Amino acid sequence: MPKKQEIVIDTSAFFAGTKKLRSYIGRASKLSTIDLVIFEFTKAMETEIARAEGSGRTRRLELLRGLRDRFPGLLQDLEIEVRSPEFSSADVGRLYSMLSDGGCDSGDTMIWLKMQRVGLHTILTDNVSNWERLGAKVVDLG
Amino acid sequence: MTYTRIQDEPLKVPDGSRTHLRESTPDAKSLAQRWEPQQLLNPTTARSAVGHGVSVTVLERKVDGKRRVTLPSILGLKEGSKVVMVASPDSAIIAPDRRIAENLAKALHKLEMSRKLVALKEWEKMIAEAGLSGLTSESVDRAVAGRIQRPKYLNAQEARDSD
Repeated sequence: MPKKQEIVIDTSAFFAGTKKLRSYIGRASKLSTIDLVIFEFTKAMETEIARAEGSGRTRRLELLRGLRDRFPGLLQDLEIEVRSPEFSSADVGRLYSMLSDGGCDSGDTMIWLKMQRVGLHTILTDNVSNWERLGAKVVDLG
Repeated sequence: MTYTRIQDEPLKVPDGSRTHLRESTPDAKSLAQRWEPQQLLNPTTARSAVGHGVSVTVLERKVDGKRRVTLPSILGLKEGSKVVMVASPDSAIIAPDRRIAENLAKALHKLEMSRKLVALKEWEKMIAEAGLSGLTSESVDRAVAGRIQRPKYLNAQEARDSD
C-alpha cells in the first residue's frame, strides 16, 4: 500500500483554506501542522481580539473568542497532528544563511527547516511564491 | 440519548435491541465515541454496517498475557475458524469474513469523514461570521509582528540616546 501523502497546514489555511482542506480530508490525506503555526495562529487571534476589545465590538469579540477556544478541538476533530521538530544550533546557522540570501520570511523559514527535519515537503498555504522560493512543494489555497 | 452504566446486565433500549456498555473499558469507550448512540443502538444502522439482521453489542474483555481475548458467545465461531480484523491504533473489530470486515471498515470510514466535514463546515461558518475568511499570510505576519512589543525601558533608552 502506498504511503499516504502528509500535508502541512500553514496558518493562512486555517482561515482561508477550508475548501482545499475539505478536499484533502475527502481523499483521507494525513494532515499535520508545526508548533510555530500554532504560535502564529494564536498570535493572530490575540491581535484580532485586542482590536475588537479596543473598538468595543462585543459581538465580534464573542465570535473571535469562540474561534480561539474552538481551535484545539478542531485540530483533534480533523486529526491534524501537531508536530514539534527539533530546532538545533546548526538550524540557526541555516536560518541565518537563508535569511541573508534575502526575500525569506523568518517565521516561514523556521517552519520550513522544522518540516525538513521530519521529512515533510508539502504545505497548504496562500503564500505560494515565498514557499516555492524556500523549496517546498506548495498546495495553493486558491 | 445517554448510556446507563450497567455492570453485567444487558442494557435494554427502546427499540428492543440489547447492548452491554462498560465505561471502564477504553476500547468500549473509544468505540462508543466513534459511533453516535443512535447509530450504535439502531438496528437498521447496525444491519447496514455488518450486513446481517443482528443487533450490535459492546462487550468488555481482558487481554491475557499473550495479548489474547475470548470471543463473545453470540459470535458463532468455532475453534480454528479464520477471522478478519478491522483495526486502528485504538480499536479492533473481528468479523467472520472479509466482506463483513470491509463493510464495517467502509461504514466507519464514512462516519469519520462525515464527522470531519461537519467540523470543518462549522469552522468555516465561524471564520466567515468573524470576518476572517480573507486573512492572508501577510496579515498573519503583521499580526504576529504587531504583538511583539518592545520593552518600555528600551524605548526610553533609545530616546535618551537620540538626545
